[in-house]
Amino acid sequence: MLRRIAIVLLLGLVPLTSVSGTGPVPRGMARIAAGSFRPLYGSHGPGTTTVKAFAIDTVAVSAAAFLRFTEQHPQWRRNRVSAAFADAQYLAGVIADSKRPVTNVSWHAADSYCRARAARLPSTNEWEYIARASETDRNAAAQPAFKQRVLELVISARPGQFRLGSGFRNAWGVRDLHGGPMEWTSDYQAIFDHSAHGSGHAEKTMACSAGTVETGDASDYAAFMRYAFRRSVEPNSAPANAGFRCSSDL
Amino acid sequence: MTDRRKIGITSSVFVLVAAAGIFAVAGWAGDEESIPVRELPDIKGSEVAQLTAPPMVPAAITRNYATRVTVNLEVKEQTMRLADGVEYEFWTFGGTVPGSFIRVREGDLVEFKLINAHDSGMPHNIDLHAVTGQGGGAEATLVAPGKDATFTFRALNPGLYVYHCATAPVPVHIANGMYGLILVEPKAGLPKVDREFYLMQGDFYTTGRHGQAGVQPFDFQKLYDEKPEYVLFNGAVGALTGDNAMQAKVGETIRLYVGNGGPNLTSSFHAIGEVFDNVYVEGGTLVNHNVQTTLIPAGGAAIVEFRTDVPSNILLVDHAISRVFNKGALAAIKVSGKENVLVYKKGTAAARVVE
Repeated sequence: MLRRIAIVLLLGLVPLTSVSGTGPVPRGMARIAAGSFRPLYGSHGPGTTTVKAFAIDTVAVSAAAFLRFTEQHPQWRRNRVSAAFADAQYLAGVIADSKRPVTNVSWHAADSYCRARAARLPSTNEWEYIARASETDRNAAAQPAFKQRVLELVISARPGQFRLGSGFRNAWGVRDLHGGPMEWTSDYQAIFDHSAHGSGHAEKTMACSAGTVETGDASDYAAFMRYAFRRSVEPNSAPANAGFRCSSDL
Repeated sequence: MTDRRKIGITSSVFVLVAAAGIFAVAGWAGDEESIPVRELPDIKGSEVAQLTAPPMVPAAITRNYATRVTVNLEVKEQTMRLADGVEYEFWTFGGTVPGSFIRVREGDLVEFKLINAHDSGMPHNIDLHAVTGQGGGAEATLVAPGKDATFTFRALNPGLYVYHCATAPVPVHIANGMYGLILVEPKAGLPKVDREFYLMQGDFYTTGRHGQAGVQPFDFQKLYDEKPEYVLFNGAVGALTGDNAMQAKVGETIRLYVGNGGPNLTSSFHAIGEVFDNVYVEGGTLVNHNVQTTLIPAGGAAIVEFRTDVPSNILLVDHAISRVFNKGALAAIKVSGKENVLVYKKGTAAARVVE
């Protein structure tokens, strides 16, 4: 009888654990535990945003890996791609280098790459959630020294000269979140939907600067810079300051 | 003078807002539906604005009609000298701090193209205080590296105006040098002077103390506390002193276009050994006379004029004086020429006294 109960409990546990996100972590990715935090934008009111467990590449996609993808998927070659999916900067000057992150890729191209890997782009909230981690703390967002260091890394970033893995490895085991190229996220524009028209953007920007309601930490200037990047690009933009990494559900 | 189109006045704010909305979608509509608020001069011809790097100013506008002026301004991020042995990652409009000087005429239709250099790390935009319209152009110009964006505005109000980057986090973009001046000359022009110069004050926040060598990163906490390590004219210690001093001769009239980019400090702008004959207060139409020190707010400007009566080295300072001694807020105009002992003489006066 006890044994039967134990088996039932075990059977009950299997689906439970897979739901709570402890599935296998794909190769090259780090496991990120679920949690909640307050992003700079996109969190309405004083509440926090919850992020489910997920996995994410420990480093960004390399230029060599992306060019291999374009060979297997010719519609993504520089000379073949539709202007609707990638602008004139797409893959400009990108050579097959496995040590450097790919840049000059559009959101469409990044999205397609991750899908081909049976993965996906991380959401903005997932990206921001792990961006708070220092080498030792999963949440260093309240540490002024950490914020200043990240800000210096972002301001002094030279995306064209960045080497994969040269940035610090954070407490989740993820590298290069700060100081390399900016990175595409799956829903990078949806964050701004509520202020897409008229004066909403300016008001939001200034309101955030003033640290008023509906904002995260107004002293997190590096986060402001990431959101400014996200606001400045279209899905077919392929700027030299942006690359991406893929993530996966668990 | 050109013919003027009289445009009907409406009291309905709603109509105004609706019209603005149509323009936002359709772009400049030219002779089609116009905003019914004021008389606007007809536009004749077109030209490309000749921009200048500080401390130089474009030549005065001689035409007596409004035209379509194209402005092309490129944002460049570059490491430059802040002080001897000290470098800083500046973000600039046109490659200099302050940015290129823009000169248009009241009534001009300005087609403004902002370009972000392909090797920039950040998106940027521009808010020109001379613009009547959403965000001063900021909404329309947020551009990723390698991109450009254009908007068109009518220079309605004459005066001297600051422009600056308004991309979040705005304080960093301004603290890194993203500001400049645009002059909207009044229809009647400004009185002719012998020399014009352009300078702007700005406060800088470096992790290292004033003078500490090396490439100095931006310091958030000092910005937040409004405690700059440097307060500078034209973005570097010595940008306008010594060999870089502005030059003039005795007997000339001088006009200075002075702005304050901030981001935080107000300037108590003063010329040591000279009195401002005229000050266009806050860059507007009101002219004050015989001024010793004029306040220039962050995000504000002033036009000051004076005649050089004697040879001297006129020092331009922020008279919050520790900023001069310890933070770099010093510029100079070297005035050469003949002494005039009736105006100034070291020692006992030689002037004859008529009894």
